[in-house]
Amino acid sequence: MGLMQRASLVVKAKASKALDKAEDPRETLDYSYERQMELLQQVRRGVADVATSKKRVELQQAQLEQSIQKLEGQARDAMAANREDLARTALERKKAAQSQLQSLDEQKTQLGAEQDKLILAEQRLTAKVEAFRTQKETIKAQYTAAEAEAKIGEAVSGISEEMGDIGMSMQRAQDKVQTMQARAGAIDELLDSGALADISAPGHDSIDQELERISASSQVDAELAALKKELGTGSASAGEIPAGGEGAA
Amino acid sequence: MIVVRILDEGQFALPDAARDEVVARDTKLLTALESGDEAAFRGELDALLSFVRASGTEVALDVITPSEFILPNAEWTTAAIHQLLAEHDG
Repeated sequence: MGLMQRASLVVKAKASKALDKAEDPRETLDYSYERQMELLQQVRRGVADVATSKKRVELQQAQLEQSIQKLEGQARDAMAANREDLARTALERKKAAQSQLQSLDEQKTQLGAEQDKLILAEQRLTAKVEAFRTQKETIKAQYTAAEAEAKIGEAVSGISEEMGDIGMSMQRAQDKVQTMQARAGAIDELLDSGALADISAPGHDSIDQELERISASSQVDAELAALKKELGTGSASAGEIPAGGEGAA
Repeated sequence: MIVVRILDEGQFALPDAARDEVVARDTKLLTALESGDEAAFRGELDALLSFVRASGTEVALDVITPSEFILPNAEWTTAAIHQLLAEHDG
């Protein structure tokens, strides 16, 4: 026996175990239909869970992108103010944030793929469940219990196989989502710890404050220079005023 | 008609004339899996998947029918396949 035949035996054995309970074969139809509806609900929840995880990754990406921009600006400002130490810290954090951002890109791609797969599985199961419901009503209406048995066997084993397949896909998708949620949690912790945040984040050396101080004092210097120029060298201001006067005249 | 399910993908109906080849390829696939030669297994699996997709037609979504053969898709790891088969033995 080959691999595919063995695999089909496994799936069939699982299905018959799940459906052994019913006494009247026609009850088997209702029982199976209930299980189908449950599975459909689970798949729909699965689709929603993947979407939520993807959203979370996107939010983290936005946060990291903002951090990277801010850190880059801070590094530039720090170098302009001759503070290489601060510039280095900012660039180191930027690098860490960039590598996290890259791993988030991969996660988003994987989550997107899982999402697509689950959506397809949901569509497939919806169509099968609807087909089963129609067959179920036909079998119940047209056949006696004994006659129905063979038809029920075919319908139920067919749908059970489908459910087994979709159940396994969903399990794998859930495992992946769980792994990624754990990673997303780790990134949230990193973000919260400030290791990827810009240097003006609370609890850290405030590069922004230092830069503001530097920039404020250089603004004061510039204004002082302008005042000196205006008051000290009369020729400069005398040259400017007539220029405006000529324009008005 | 032979119905083959590719897990995660759906069912394909193949003509009866394809049976011998399906069975032969299926046996080779299991041998490759049991040999532990990952590359050989991947080769057989890819070939079999292509064969099923090329020589079969997709079973319509509103048709409910059991499959004679169930084939993992290319994403299945050998570990996962071993686990699936073990569920029957256990």
